[in-house]
Amino acid sequence: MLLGIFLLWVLLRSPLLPTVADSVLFFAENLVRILQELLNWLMGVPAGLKLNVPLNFALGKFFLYHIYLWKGYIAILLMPNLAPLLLCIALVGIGGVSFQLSMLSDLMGLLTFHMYCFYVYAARLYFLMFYAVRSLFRLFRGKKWNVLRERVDSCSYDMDQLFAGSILFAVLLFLLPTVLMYYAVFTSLRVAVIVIQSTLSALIGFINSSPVYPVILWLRQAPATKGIA
Amino acid sequence: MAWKKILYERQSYADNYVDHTFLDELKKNVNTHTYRFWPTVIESGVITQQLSSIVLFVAAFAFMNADKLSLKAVFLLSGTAAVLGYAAYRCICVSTATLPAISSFNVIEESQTKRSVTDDLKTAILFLALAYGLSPILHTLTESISTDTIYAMTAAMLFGNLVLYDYGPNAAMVSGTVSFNAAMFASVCIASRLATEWHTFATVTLAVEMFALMPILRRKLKARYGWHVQVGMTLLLNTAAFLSLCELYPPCAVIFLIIFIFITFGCPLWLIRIQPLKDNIHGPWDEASCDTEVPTHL
Repeated sequence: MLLGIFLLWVLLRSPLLPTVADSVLFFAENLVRILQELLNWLMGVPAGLKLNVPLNFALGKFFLYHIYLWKGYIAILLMPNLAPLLLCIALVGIGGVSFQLSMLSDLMGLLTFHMYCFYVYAARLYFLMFYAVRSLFRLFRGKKWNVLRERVDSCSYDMDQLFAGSILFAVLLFLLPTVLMYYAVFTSLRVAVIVIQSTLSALIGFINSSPVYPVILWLRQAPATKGIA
Repeated sequence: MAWKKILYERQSYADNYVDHTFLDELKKNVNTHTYRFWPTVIESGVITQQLSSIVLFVAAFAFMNADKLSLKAVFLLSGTAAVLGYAAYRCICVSTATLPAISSFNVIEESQTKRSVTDDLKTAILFLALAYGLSPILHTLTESISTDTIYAMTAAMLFGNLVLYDYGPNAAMVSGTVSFNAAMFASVCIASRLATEWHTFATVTLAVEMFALMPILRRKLKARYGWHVQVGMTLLLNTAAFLSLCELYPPCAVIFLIIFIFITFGCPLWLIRIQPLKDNIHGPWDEASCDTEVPTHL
């Protein structure tokens, strides 16, 4: 709490608040720029891997459009509200530095919301494709998942099912590496954000569980800390 | 006291005593089939027919790639072949149905798997629509994969098709599903190498005709008309494959001829030569096996 009030005093008194606001804005815009560069890299030849060109192009354009919407979001919603938001964070320091740290963690979540969205899109698409490829591979071998017995059984498919299944299997199998690439990139970004947030959360937990008050009492030799004697 | 072949009573003999009736119940080679040369040669035509249809498919792709075969010609040929083949199949079905029933089993099998003309038409429309819709995707599917990899995958898949094809015996390795799927996968791989999307569509349709529809027709013809038609089909398909290989790459044609002679004449000779060396023993120690044919009159 003392630390919190100290930090609050520091932030209100010094002209630190506008610079903090500027740095937050800078961070957000940098993030957007980095993401755009990342997507352009993915749409080219990432790490020397040759991905399927039309699918790569389609996915890249989709995510770039999402970033364009995000830029609008930052401009309209975030920018006017940034200074009051930081003031709020500073004021909350009355509750202690842990409050400020948790608000910082939430602010970070807000700023990286688009990365969370990308991760969810890429993850859903990848898992759907993977499920389809697994199921069609069973069709390729002439087997089927038996839901009742929860095992893989042989199955005699019709001609129509075999036609459609084998062509779709080939198509989805060849398109899988491209989607896997996008999934890997966005998952690692999401993991980075989660690491930062969980470090903050661990710090907050450490602060919360540190016995500052009992130590101060002990230093002052208050009767509450003396044993029964 | 005479020795009895039991162990649940004490006898004056040792437990492992055997008398003169030992191994009387051993029978050798009960179920072996004696092969004769010419019928085996005629039956081996099934393998060479499948091999030549694969060769014809690959030759069609090679000609389309080298622009020696125009798109219109492929569409025309495959379209007329499909229509004529289907008409022939329907005629044979009708004529088989009007024959006196050989056994009750056959008639019941026919009526259970009967598909009407509308069913087949629906399947055809479904397939054509799917192939047409997917052909732009198929066209750019393997652009980033090197040509050598594509050729290797196609070759491996077609080899799988040849090996796992349902030639007739009920062995565990045979899997009509896997062989058909491997052929379709190979056709998708190789169709993505062609110039335009219409070429891709033509290749995939041709593959379906050759690997799904033609085997059905061949089996029907063989079952209905016996060995003359079988020999005729073998010679026709193999000559066509040989001529297209000559046109394409003569050394390959020579290899094809050698393989054909080996499969048609060499393998039956070999089989007949080693058949007398067969030495299966049967006896009361074998596992009991049930009759696999379920009696249908019950």
